[in-house]
Amino acid sequence: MSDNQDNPLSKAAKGPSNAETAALAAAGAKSFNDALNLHKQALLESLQDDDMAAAADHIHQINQARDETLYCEVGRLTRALHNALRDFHLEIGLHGNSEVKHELLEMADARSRLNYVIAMTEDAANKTMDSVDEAAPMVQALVAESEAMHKDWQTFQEQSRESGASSTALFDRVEQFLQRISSDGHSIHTRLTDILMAQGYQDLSGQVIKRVIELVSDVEQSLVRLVKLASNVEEVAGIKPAAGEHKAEKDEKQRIRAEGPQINQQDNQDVVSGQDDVDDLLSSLGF
Amino acid sequence: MKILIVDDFSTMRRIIKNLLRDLGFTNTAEADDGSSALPMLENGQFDFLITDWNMPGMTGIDLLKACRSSEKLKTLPILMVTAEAKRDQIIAAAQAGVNGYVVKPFTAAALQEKIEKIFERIDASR
Repeated sequence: MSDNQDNPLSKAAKGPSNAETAALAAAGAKSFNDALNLHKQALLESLQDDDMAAAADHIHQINQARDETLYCEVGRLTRALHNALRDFHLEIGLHGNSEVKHELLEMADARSRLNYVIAMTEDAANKTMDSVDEAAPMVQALVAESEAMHKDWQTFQEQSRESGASSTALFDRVEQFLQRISSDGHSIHTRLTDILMAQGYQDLSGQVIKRVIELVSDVEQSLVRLVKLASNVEEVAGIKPAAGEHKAEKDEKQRIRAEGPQINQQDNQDVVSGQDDVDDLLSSLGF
Repeated sequence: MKILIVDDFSTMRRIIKNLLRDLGFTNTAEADDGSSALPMLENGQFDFLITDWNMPGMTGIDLLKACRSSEKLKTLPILMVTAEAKRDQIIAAAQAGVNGYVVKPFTAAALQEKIEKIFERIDASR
C-alpha cells in the first residue's frame, strides 16, 4: 500500500492493532481449514459406512467451526474499525500543538470536527473579505483622484507648453503615471471582485461538508451497533472483548430535502451543466 | 430600492451584498432562512428578494411559494441564487413563480445580468 503518509486515517489503519488483527484473521482461517481437514476424512468414512448419525455430527462440527470463524472475523473487523476511529481522534491531537490538542479533545466525534472545518473556512473567508472591503474603497479613491488630477494636469501641460517651458520628459512621465493609476486601479478592482467571488467556495464546500456530517453520523451509529452486536457474538464464541467504551448513540438528525451542490455534474443527465443551461431551460419554459 | 438577501451561509450573504453595492444598491437587509425572512418581507417595504434554496428551517422554495400566496408579496421580484442544479428543481422554481435563477458558483457578471433583466421586464410590464 502506498497511501499518503500524512493521512491520519491511513496511519491509524496501518497501526499495530490492525497487523495483529490480520494475523488473528489468518489464524482463524487456518483453524477452520484444520477443522475441515480433520472432519473431511471422518465424514467420508462415515458416509461409506452408511452411518448417517456420525455423518450429520461431522457436518454439524464443520458448520460450527465455520460459524465461529465468521463470528470472530465480524468481531475483529468491527473492533479494528472502532480502534481506527478512536486512534484517528487521538492521533491528530498528538501531532498538534497543545492548544489545538485541547481543542480537538473537546470534540467528541467526527461531526463536530467537520463543523470545525466549516467554522475555520468561514473565518478565513471573512478575513479575506474584510481585506477586500478595506482595499476596494482605497483603490476606488485612488482611481477617482488620479482621474480628476489627470484633467487638471492636461490643462496645466497645455498652458506650460504655450509659455515655452521645456520639461516635456517630466510631463510625459506624469501623464503616463496618471493614466496607469487609472487603468491599473480598474484592474485591481476587478481582481478584488474575483477574490470576493472566490470566497463562495466556503458556502459550497460547507454544504457538502454538512452532508458528509450526516453520513459520518449514520456510519458511526451503525458502527456502534455493530460493535455491540459483535461483543455479544464474541461472548458466545468465547472471545475476550477488549476494554473500550461504546459511544452513546446520538439523536436522529433532521434530513435536508434540498440536495446541495452537485459533485459529478458531467455524469448526471438530470443536472444542468452551468448558468447557460439554466438560462436555456428557463427560456424553454417561457422566461 | 430595498433588497433582502436570504442565505444560511453568512459568507454568501456578504458576497451578494458586496456585489449589489458595486452595482449601486446599498439598501440591503439579510436573513438566514425563510422563516426569519418572511416576517421581514411582510412588515418591511422590500422591492426585491434574493434567496438561496437549501436552508435549514424554511427553504427558499417554500419562501418563494409563501410569497406568491401572500397578497402583499405576490408580485415581489424574486431571484434564486442556489447550488441546486437539477432540471426538476429549476422547473419547480419556475412553476412556483421565480423571476430569475442563478446557479452557484456564479460570476459577478451573471448576477448583474439577471438582476438587470428582471428590472427591465418589470419596467416593460408597467
